[in-house]
Amino acid sequence: MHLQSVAESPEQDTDPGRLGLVDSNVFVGRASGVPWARNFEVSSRDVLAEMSRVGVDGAVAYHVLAREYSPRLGNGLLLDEIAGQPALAGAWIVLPHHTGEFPPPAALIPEMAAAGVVMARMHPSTDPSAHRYLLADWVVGELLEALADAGFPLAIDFSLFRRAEPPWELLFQVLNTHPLLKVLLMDVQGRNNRTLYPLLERFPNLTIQTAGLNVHRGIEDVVSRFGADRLIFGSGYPLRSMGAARFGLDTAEIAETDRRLIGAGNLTSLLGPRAADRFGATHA
Amino acid sequence: MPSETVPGRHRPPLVIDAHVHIGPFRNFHIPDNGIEGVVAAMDSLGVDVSVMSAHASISADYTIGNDIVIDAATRFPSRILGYCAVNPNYADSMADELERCFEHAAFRGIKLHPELHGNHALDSRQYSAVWEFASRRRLPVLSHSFFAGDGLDVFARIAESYPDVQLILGHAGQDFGIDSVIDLAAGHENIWLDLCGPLSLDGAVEKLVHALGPGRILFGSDLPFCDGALQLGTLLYSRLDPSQVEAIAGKNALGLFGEAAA
Repeated sequence: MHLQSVAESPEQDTDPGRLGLVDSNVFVGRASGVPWARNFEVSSRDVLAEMSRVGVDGAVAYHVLAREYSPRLGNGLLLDEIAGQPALAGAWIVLPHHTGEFPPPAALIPEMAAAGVVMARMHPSTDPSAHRYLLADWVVGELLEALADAGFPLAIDFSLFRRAEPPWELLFQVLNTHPLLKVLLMDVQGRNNRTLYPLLERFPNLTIQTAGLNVHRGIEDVVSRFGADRLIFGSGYPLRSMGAARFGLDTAEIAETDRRLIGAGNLTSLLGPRAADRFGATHA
Repeated sequence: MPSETVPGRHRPPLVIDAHVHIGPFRNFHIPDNGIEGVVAAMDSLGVDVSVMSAHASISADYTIGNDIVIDAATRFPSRILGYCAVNPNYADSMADELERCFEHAAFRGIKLHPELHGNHALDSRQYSAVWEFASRRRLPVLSHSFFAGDGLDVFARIAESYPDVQLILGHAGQDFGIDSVIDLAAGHENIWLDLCGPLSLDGAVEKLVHALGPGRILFGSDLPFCDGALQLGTLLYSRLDPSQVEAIAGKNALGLFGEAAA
């Protein structure tokens, strides 16, 4: 067999640290774990070390205890964990207030602002391990409107099985009813363009996390159809590889200006003034 | 933190993707799924050679699919090798199709996809022609694995019954648990692990190498079924040493598929 290495790709000859990268999707804490993954207790120092190893400048982190056990407790631990780390900003996982587990939106929003978090996350129903509430307006509408009014972006993660689909009709209603709500879809998976694309066409307030879009030449396709402002760099670290997310963006065949937008610019725009003093200035 | 930090990325001298497809697929949109799009992705990722089967042959008409692979390999002879895919629902035609494929030098292995071909047991008589052909020619056989399909015991029986077949466990048997997969591979010298799928979890390849060594682990992406960058990137940013990455990224496949051509 005659197999020879192809020439080094242009990307390999350029300065690997030229991008400003801010990861929109990392967690800290000790997850319950999955057998194939690394599984370790992830401190903010561990995240910073991985960012340094991979060449990522900043990250928005949530606490995995908030996802797997108690949002209120995990959100509190997050503040302790990232305190004094300007490269890390916090995302709180939120619940609707009707059961009393969470304060009503009018009280939650000032609490989020006072805590210095920059983003809200939701893990609504679609999977037994998610937070088991419907993403319908009669459940979460008040909360969504409050987040939109306050300028907090909302990351939605449906905890999808690899072949699953998000609950599209519910997502449509959220975007349609709350046009000022900035939605970041975390885990769209790889088989959903036929429904995702009409949503992207219709709703400019919908953005997609890069590593959650597991589509062949997906970054290129979304950029060419909808523009670079619809994609936001993210990895899912430590469950997923931060390096792989970087590799995906580094090797995408797009303009460098678009790569910079996806790498950090779109996220900092999404986060707004609350993130003005975060992550250093390299991505500005 | 300055963004000038040097990334901890490996740069293996040869990358062979042992699990690649080509073409559209019925139930979802795949951008740029033709040979130009596949080779463009290989170029941007730094993949030297892909070993592919066509979506048409794992889902619809295997002869059309195998012809697509022949055409791709003819157009890009230094970049594309093929798996001949056959369908156990057409068991009587298997031997003829295998003979037809392997008249073309690009074919280096056989691809089976039980999930999309009726879920016949891999050790049933429907597949006998495959194992006999592969054994006679000492070929690699890559079989898809999935949660509702044959268990690892079936893969073990085939490996034991056909010691001359190099059996590649598709997706490294991700739905059966890493401990069972490690036990299976450790006990069978002719079982190889195709990383596509579990490689997307950070730490999976390190766990496999720690338990088994790098020798029978193959980089595979499933491109263009999914994003090859996320698969390859996890390997290139893994915490393995460079020689281990070099083996998994290309050296192992070079030996396996090169031997199949001998």
